[in-house]
Amino acid sequence: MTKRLGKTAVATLSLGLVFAMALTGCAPKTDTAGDGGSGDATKGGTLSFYIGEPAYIDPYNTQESEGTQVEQALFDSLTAFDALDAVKIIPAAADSWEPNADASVWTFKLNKDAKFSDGTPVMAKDFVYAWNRIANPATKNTSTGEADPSVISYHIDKVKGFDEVAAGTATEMSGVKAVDDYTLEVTLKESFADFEYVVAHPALAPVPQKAVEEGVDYNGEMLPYGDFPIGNGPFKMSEPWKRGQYVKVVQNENYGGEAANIDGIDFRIFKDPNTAYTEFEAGTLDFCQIGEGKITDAISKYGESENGYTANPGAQSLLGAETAVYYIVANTKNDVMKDANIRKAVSYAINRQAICDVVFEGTREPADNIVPPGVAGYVPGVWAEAKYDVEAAKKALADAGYPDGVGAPELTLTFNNDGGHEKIMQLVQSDLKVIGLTVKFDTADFPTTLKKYDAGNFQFGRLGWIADYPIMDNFLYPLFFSTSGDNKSAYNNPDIDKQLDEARKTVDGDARIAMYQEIDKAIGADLPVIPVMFYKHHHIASDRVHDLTYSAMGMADFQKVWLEAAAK
Amino acid sequence: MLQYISRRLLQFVPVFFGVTLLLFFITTVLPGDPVRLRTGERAMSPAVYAELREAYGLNDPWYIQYVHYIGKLSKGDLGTSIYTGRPVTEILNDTYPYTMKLAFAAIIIEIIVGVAAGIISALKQYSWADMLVTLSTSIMVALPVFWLGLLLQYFFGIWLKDWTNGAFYLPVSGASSSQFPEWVHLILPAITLASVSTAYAARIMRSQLLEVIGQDYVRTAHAKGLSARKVLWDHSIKNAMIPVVTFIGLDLGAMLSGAILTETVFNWPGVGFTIFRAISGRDYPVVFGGVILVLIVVLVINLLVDISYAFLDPRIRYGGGAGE
Repeated sequence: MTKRLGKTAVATLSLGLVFAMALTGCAPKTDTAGDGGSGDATKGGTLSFYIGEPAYIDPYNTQESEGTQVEQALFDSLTAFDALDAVKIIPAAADSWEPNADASVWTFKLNKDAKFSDGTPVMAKDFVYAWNRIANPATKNTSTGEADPSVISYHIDKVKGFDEVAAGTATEMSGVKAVDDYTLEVTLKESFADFEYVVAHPALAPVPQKAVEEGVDYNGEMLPYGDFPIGNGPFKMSEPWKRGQYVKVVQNENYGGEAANIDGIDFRIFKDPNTAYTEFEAGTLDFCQIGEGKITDAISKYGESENGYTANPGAQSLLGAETAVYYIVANTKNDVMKDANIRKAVSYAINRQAICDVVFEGTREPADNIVPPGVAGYVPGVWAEAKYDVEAAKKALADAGYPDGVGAPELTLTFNNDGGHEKIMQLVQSDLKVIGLTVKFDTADFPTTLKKYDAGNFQFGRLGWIADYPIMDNFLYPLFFSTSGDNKSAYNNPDIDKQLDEARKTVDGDARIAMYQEIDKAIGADLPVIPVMFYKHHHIASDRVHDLTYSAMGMADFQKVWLEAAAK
Repeated sequence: MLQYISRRLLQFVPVFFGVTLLLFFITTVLPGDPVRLRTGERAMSPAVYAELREAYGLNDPWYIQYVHYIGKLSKGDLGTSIYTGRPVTEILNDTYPYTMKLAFAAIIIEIIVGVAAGIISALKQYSWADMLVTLSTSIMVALPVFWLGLLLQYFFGIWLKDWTNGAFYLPVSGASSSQFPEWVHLILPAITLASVSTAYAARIMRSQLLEVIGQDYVRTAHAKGLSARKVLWDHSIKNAMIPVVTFIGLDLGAMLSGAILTETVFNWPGVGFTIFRAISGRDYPVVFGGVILVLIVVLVINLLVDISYAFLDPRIRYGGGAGE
């Protein structure tokens, strides 16, 4: 017995020793970058940044925010949004630009110092190549060598010659020309005064033709461009994209603009933002979303940023408004929903604040417009019926012929049963019950629901809209122009169509915004959709991160961020 | 035995075609268009939509798509992901080695801890060790995997780090980092993945061994004067192991099919989450490729489990005629 116990003890000790050795081997290495919290920006260090898995980081097909975030580091487009004032457009690859009198022809003068990370200069022809690559449906995926058309070609569908290239009758858009090495001229099919915002999108960055077509040499191995994009931005790839794990970038020594403070960024790819937040709490991640149900705790532990967008030690939680909106879409062709009074009753009945507080811990705010704050021209409360007012809801219902809901038909709310929408819709359902409207759910997965929306086979449902560019046009035109594919409410108002076209032709910025504000107000009066919530950031940075601005568009500004001597 | 293996291998053929045919048929029943999903809530240009559907052969009837798929499969081509435009073989090459690493690490824990705990528990019936095994296995079975994962992350990744002032801790997620050797990243996910199965393995081992050591032939072996060790190893444990091996074999197959919850909680880059995401995104080429890979692995493991019975119990013979 004694002998046996001894063996057990030895085994236990051995296991313990192995485990202790494992743990000892796990003591973190210290990051020696930076000189340590002087308050002045210090150089060096690597920022560890959370993203979800991108589908593409090759600009021609980057649609979601994950890939766009990486592109933001690797590429400079012609213009850029100011991180703290998205309305303000600043030079990027283009030093200057100007439209003609009716904003149908745009001339961009490129920065002559700009280079790709492989040292080759960035020229107008690189934009021509990149844009034609997006437009051409025969464009090949660099991994497979097979045709893989871009799904984001809508960014440039206003360019003259786009339709011919998309239809396969031409291979180059007639509207994009390299006038000389450093002058790019873009002719649009019709006037579009906000085009300078469109060309700020990272997807419209230049790409080097040789690298795209022949691959990128990485330590003697030729890699597909899509795995190792060569860009003209402040950072460059340091190793190939490790899918499901990370994208690592370091400073681009050939960058034509001002160098960043940090040496590099590790974009760490997570399946679940809650896991990323656990990593953050373990001190091994610098930036991520705040975990579900932990907003209050995070604010009390890490402090809240004053402006909602810029993180510094002690003011690390970012809760600024985003340029995104969550809304209920009413099918205006439906027999019941075509009655504006029913739509008004629904809108007045929804207690938006309760949804924001109960479901989202205050990380959303009630929407009073389809255009969110942060977009030039947003006017609070301009959609008069987008507010909670039970008495007004009952009156609207009575005006529709259903006092207290008597005789009102049962409504069907169609939405996808993933993504946490059910909780929101249950609150909407109970709000509508208060005024006498009975709502049944028609739920399915997202693909099925999307199909119903596309086919107009629904009464009312829910959707979200995230801005590609912080301009009113990016909300009003796609969502309400009669022939737009994104107009799921089937709203058809020839006056609005005409006014939208007119606004696009108005070069004077103030006059244009004033026109969009009128249009916004007019659409709000018709209420084809019912704004519910504006999105807000719910992100956090570690206490070694200084001056990290995460814009309303959901893009981080990596130029100004700096890191304190780490090991925190 | 060879005859048996050949017969089993031949059975793979109808199973393979049955599963893949069923899979292709189901995709025609499932609503939702994989190409349309590429742009989510945003509309897609009709020209791009048509081009993509053509490129992926989605305009053909399902049986034609199936014939094309089998034709490409015979050349080792599993197609291209509709969502990422990458070859499915590359996607599986990237993810499956991580699934294998995690599965084998978990199964090793399951075999060592589960079987050992079951043996100790049976041999020391009603002792404190037995009670400890019974209690701990009950807790492990009751504890949801994701919750255990979160607890381990908090304890070893956050609390231990704070407590030791950063001297000792374990990585809470991912498969690699500059701070830790790769194998250290396996510790927490492997323990989490193995937890429930280890508990079941211990329970099965305990009950089987208790049953076997009460059998007449074991008593006879003792009476013949065989040493207690020999009776235990040669006559008791080996016989008791058969249901345990069956369980572990099936469990290994399940683990090699991917572990969605463990992969999600620990951000493990395995195939389970990849297939799960492909199903919800209707990325059929990835679903087909993943299912085919998992199907082959499960069939092979089942065959190996069956073969192992012959080793564990000499009375079991395959391939012979009646009466053998």
